[in-house]
Formats: sequence, structure tokens, C-alpha cells
Amino acid sequence: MLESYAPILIYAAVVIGFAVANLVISDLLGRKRRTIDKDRPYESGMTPEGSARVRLSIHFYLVAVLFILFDVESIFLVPWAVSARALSEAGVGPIVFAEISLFVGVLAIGLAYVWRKGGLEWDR
Amino acid sequence: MEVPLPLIWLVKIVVIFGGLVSTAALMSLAERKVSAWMQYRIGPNRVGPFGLLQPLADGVKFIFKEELIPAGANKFMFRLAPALSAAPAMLTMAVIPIGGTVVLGEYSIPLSIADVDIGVLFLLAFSGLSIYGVILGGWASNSKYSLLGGLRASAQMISYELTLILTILAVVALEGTLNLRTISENQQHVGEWNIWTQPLAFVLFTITMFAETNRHPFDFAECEPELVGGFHTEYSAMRFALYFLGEYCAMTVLSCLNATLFLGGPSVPFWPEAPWFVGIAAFCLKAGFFLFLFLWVRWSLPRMRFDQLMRLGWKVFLPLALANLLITGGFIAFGAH
Amino acid sequence: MNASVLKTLFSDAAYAALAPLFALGIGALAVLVAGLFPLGKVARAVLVLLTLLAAAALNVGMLLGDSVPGLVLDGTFVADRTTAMWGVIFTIGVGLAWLFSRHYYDEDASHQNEHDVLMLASALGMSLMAGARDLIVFFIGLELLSIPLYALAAFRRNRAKSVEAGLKYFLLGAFAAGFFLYGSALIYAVSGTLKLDVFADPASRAKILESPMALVGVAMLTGSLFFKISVFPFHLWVPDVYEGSPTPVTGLMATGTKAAAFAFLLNALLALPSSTSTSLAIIALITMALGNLGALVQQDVKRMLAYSGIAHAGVVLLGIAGAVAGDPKQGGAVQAALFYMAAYVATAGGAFGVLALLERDGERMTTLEGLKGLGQRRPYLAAALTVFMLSLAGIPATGGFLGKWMVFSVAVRAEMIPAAVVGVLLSVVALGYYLRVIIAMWMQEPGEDSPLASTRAIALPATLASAACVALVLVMGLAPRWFLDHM
Repeated sequence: MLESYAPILIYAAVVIGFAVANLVISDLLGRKRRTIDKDRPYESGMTPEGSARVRLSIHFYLVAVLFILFDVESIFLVPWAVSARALSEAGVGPIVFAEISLFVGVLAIGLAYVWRKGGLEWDR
Repeated sequence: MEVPLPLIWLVKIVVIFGGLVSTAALMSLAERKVSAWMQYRIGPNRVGPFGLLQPLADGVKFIFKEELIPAGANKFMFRLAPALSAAPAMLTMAVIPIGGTVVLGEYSIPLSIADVDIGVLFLLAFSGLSIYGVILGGWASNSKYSLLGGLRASAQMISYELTLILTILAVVALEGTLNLRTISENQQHVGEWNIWTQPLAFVLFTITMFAETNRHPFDFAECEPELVGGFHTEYSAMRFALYFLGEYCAMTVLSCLNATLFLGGPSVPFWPEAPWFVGIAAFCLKAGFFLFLFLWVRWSLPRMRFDQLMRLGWKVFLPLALANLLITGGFIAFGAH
Repeated sequence: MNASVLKTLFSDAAYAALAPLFALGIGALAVLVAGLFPLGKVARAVLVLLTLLAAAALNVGMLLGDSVPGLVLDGTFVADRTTAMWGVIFTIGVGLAWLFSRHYYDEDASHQNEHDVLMLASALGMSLMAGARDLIVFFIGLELLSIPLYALAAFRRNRAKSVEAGLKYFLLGAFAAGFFLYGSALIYAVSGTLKLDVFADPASRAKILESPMALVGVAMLTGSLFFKISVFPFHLWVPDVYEGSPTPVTGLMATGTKAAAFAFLLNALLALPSSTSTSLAIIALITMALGNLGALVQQDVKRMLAYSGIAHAGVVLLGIAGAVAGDPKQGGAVQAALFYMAAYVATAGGAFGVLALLERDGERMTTLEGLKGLGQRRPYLAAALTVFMLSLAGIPATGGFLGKWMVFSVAVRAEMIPAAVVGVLLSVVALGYYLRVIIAMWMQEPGEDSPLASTRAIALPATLASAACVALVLVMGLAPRWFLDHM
């Protein structure tokens, strides 16, 4: 079983080697003539104002939290999706479906709640 | 003569990886050619016949360009981020079956780098890693454009990843396996293609591909009029090229995945016994169609607004994908097999 | 998983066992959804009450019924009379906290609906904890209880102390949860299962407890439970969190969390090697000493009750130490702990509730200074608080006395006489600070800077709740027959 992952390991080595090699070659061969102006972060030709480590809109945080919630949900759905057919053929389809509907239903209520409370509005 | 197994692996890796990278490189040319045709121009035509060697010339140019690191940047993260973005996108190709099984004498060789039972999970897990490259690159640059671009891109990618997973799960539920090879082999005949049983999932998946790869009309990471270059504003030379390569690789992999999940992979319509090379050609044609779709859409549709994008993802696609999955589950449970 | 296992999982017994949990879960969701529509305050309150009543009724039904479902869900959840009794206690505790919270938040009453949902969810978590016979099931219950409480502790967002309490509770609670999971992982590594059944069989129990890895795991589990029941050396968070949280929530934390964690600890008793009984008894005594001595010097009654809660946890732990050492009476410790916690829920729940009522009139009312002369201003409230103080102190004719008596007799039966004697002596020390409250209320005139007498009427829900608490405390002290028969 595990040996089917061996090609992936080799492939990973090739891919990572490719990415690193590209970065290193460019680092070695590229020209280097640094000036103060060139090193400035780009701000449409103006002198940069302050640091770029600024506070962010809370929306991004909210989206990240919601993502975690529903991502974990979809992880829990994977085992069901894989076995739904086999379980249905074994004659327990309806009860399994009821269970998963309950699970998805609770999360759907969560989505409805967030929606209604304005958690999905980007321009508020 | 006995051929050692690792040698077969290596050959497959070289062929598939080479194919992936050259597809990505050709896409950079195709992007310019297609846009030129659609705008009644000619496009690059000086380097090689029809400009075909243009990507090579671009690569050489990228290598010899100066690599800038903005003052105040987090140097380690700044250097690492492009590789973090490109490598996962390329890695996901490992589980895509580009063809059936080749029988050469006593060897039967499945045409994919690895044939693992958790193919779908592997693909989702690694494609999820690409976000790190985007958000770290944006943050490490110490530039406001980069930061905002990185944030937008990651918010968009995670929002649409939910739809992506749920639509894939609908197919997985039908097929009862996470193995992409089994999924593609179950669709030998054109009547068995999953597009007929999962039309909604197909449409959602296809649109989500655009959002996942930050492509037009959802390319808010770049969005030139607002954010200059987005998260790679400060990148130059090969680091910049790696970001681009990563984006094109992600597009290619998602196109291949779409073809595998919904269009039967290497199956040829009305010719189920087609030899393996015809199968590969069919697969490339299907994936190529989606790649062309990326370009077609880019030069036809206007860009959306960011709030429209988030609304579409959370208020339309996510509920639709959930409902689709549940309905699929209902059909399976109440015996339509 | 094969289909036949699924069929046994979804048996009728399983549905019967989980019915109270379903009631709470569905109720919580219903209240959440109701909050999305412009429903009146009354309609939502009715929904909450119906949920709690349904859960309580189902539990009482199980308590009085002829048969109980027993072990269900592949042996991971148990529904017997003890679980049902715990369920009743939890619903009473949550119901009290909810009733007292009705008019508590008037001035900043946003998200009141979410408040109720979180309370119901915590009740669900408690019930799951009490019935858990599997470490993961317990953990789900624990988080279902803890996460709502973190949010509830910080519910008065515009007060720094409340937010501080929430954050402190969250950070330390997260550590405790981590310890629990690491401990479970170690036990799993040794035994290959997360079910508590493995400890029921003497042979496999001895084999598991031989391994140092499992012992470390058990120690980590115990540590995280000690955090939840606020026992030495994990008790330091209690005063700050109790003081900062909204007072009805403090009542819930003091009663519900503790009761649920004890319920599981009693389920998991067999996992503790009998050699630990001495150290458990020592920890219990240290806890009692620290709680009582800490309470003696407090000026704020909420903080004082927090320290007294630590001391009470020590008392119950002494009973558990007795059970670990070997109580000749079968189920004696469970009965004692059940009775003690039932009395404590009514007493401490009521005491915090009365404080919540007083606090509305002005912040400083929770200090001893503010209580001065309360007997003249508000005789009924003062009388109720007096009953609670007497019960907490363990004066005869109250539920608190009988509870203490039962717990100490477990220790005595287990031949831990010195520990029991020290425990009783420490309880006498406790009289010192409980009586101070009574003296302040009845025998001292309001000082210069005491708040002015309030003429505001007390709302109906709170009146009902305090009356119910007083009644419960007295009934449990004077006519405990029914309770003893059903525990």
C-alpha cells in the first residue's frame, strides 16, 4: 500500500528541486545594482507613507473563521461521501442519509444565522 | 531484460512534469496570442515560428533580471513565498490520471505518477497549501498593495475552496471512492460521464476554478487599476516568474481535474476501446478546452467587484453546492443505483 | 464501518437515552433561528422555558420509569438513573441562571438571544459529559460546555473586567482542553481504546495502570478535570473569572461546570489507581484550606463565593478520595456527590442570583459594605441570602448540611478518619465568613458610603427563581427522602 506513495516522494523532490533551482540560478546570474530608491516599496512613485504592517479590516478575519467552520464540515463529509454508496447497498441508506442531513442541516442553520446577522456583507 | 520499477516511475515523472511545465509555459504564450486574436492583433510572432519560442526567451530574460527585495521586507519569507505558491500547484499533478493503462509487453503501466486511494484528498490538501505562498508573499513585501492583494486573494481562495470541495464530494459520493483513477475508469462510455448526473456540480466547479486560481473575472489579487500587481507587486525576475508558473500550473491541474471528474478523463466518446494514445489525446483535448476557456473568459468578460465575488461565493455557490450534495446523497440513499 | 454496527447504534434504546440531549439541542437551534425573526421577547422566553422543561421532563421520566436504556452507542454513552439525576440538576442550574439573567442585562441588552442559545448549549454539553463513557464523547461535551461559557463570561463586552474574565477563562481552559487530549492520546496508546470500559475489567485495568505512559495520561486527564472543578493547584483562575463574569453566568459556572466535571470524574473513578487516594485526600484538604482561608479576607461577596466554591470542590474531592480508597457501601460516593452537588446548585445558584439582583442597583452592592442594612431595606432578599449562607456553611436543616455529612461519611467508611476530621474542622473555619455576610445584612447599619435604599421592584422570573432555590435548599435539608431514594 505505502509503496504507491513512493513516486509522489520522488516527484516532490523533483518539484521542490525545480523551484529552488530556479530561485538560486536567478539569484546567481541576475545583476545586482541596488540603490536606495530601487529598494523602496512601490507606492505609485511616491515616497512610501509609513509601514505596510497596518491593521486590517475585520471582514478578512470573519471570512477566515467562517472558512474554518465550513472547511471542517466538509472534512467530516468526506468519510460519508466515500461510504454512502456502500452503506446504501447494505440497506442502511435512509438512516445514514437522515444522519448526514441532520449534520448538514445544523450547519445550514449556522450559515443562515451568519447570513441574516450580516456576517456575509462585505460592504458594511 | 528486467526494467526496475523506479525507472518506470522516473520516466513517468519526467514526461508528466515536463508536460505540465511546458503547458504552463505555452499558456503564457497562448494568453498573448488569444488576446491578440480576439482584439484583431497579431501577438508575439518574432521568436520562432508563430512566436512559439517566446516562452523560452522570456525564461532566459527572467533569469538574468535583477531580483529586488524591498526595504523592510521579511527577507526569508519573501524569498520562500514564490516556491510555496508554485510547488504545491505542481505537486497536485501527481495524482491526475492522464490516461488509462499502457500494456507494453509484460508491463502494464498506469498513466499517472502515483495511483493512490486518497487521490482527491491529496489534491485538495496540497492545492490548499498554495494560499500560504500568496498571503506570505503579500505580507512579507512590506508594501501596501501587496498586503491588500494577498489578503484579498486568500479570502477569495478560501471562500471558493468550500464550493470546490463540496462539488468534488458530490462526484465522490456517486463513485464511492477517492481514487481518481477509479473515478475516471468508471466513465468509459460517454453515457457514464458525471456531467450528465452532476450538471450543477460541473457548472459550479468550472466557475470555481476561475476563483481558485485568481483568474479573470475574479482576479482581485492583481486587479491592476486598484492594486497595481497585487501580492506580487514587489516581485521581479525568477521569483515573479515562479508565481506565474504556479498560477498556470494550478489552472492546468484544475482543468485536468475537471476533465477527470466530469468528462470521463481519457475516455473517447463512442469508442470505448480506443488505444491509450488516443485516450491521452482525448484527455489533453478536454483539459485544453478548459484552459482555452480561461483565456476566452478573460478577454470577454468585465471584472467583478470584490464584494460581488464574496457574495456570489457565500450566498449562492455554497448553499447550492450543499444542496446539490444533499440531493445526491438522497438519490444514493433511496436507491437509484 | 459495516451496516450491522450502524443498526445497533441507532437502536430505540439509543434514541431514548439521547432524548433529553435532543431536546436541548433542538431547543437551542430553535432559539437561534427564532432570533432571526422579529419575534417578541416573550415568545423567545417561552421557547427557552419549553426546552428546559422538556429536557427536565424527559430526565424525570427516566428517573421514575421502570427501565433505563443503559449503555448505548457502542458503549460510549450511558443513560441510567444517575445520569438522569445529573440531567435534572443541570437543567435546574441552567434554568436558575437563565431566570436570574432575565433582567440583569437591561442597560446593554444586545445579543440577548445568543445569550440564551449559549446557555442551552452549555446545558447540552453538561448532559453529554455526565453520560460519557468514552474520552472523546466526554471531550465533545466538555467543549460544548466550555466554549459557550468563554463567550458568556465576556458577555458584557463594554466592561473591561468581563472581557478580562472571558479571556483568562478561555486561555486557561484551552490549556486544560489540550492536557485532556494529550492524556487521552497516551491512554489510547497503551490501551488501544478510548472507552472507560477497559478500566472495568480488573485484569486489563491492572495491565494498563502498570504502564508509566498510561499513568502520565491519567494524571493529565485528572489535571484538566481539576481545572474544571477548580481544585488545588488549578484553582487560581477562579476568583478573577467569577468576579469579572456577569453574575448569572458566574452562578452557572460555579454550579453547572463543577457538577458536570464531577459527574464524569465519578464515572472515571476506576481509572484512578487506589494508591492515589491519599494524595487525592491531601489535595482535597489543601483545596479546602486554601478556599476557606482565601474567602476569609475577601471584601467582595462574589470573590468570597468564588473562594468558597473552591472549598466546596475540595469537600466533594474528599468524598471521591474515599471512593478511590474503597468505600464499602456500593455507590455511596456517587450518591453523596449527587446530593452535595444538587444542594450546591440550589444554594450557590441562588446566592449568585440574589447578588445579580442586587448588582443591578449599583456595582458596589456585591461588597460586604454594600450589604449592610439589607435586612431592613429588602427583608425577603436578605432572608433568602441568609438561608443560602447557612446552607453553604453546612448548618443543620439545610441541604448543605446533609450533603457535607454524606460526603464525610464516605471518607469515614473508607477509614480516612484523620482526613475527615480535618475536613470538618476546616468547615467550621468557613462559618467565619458566611456569618459575616449575615451579620452585615441584619445587624449593621448602612455606612456613610453605602448605596441608597432601592425601591425598584424585583422582576417576576428572579422572584420565582429565588423562591425555588430557598424551597429546594430547605426541602433537601428537612425532607430529603425523595432525593435519597432516587440517587
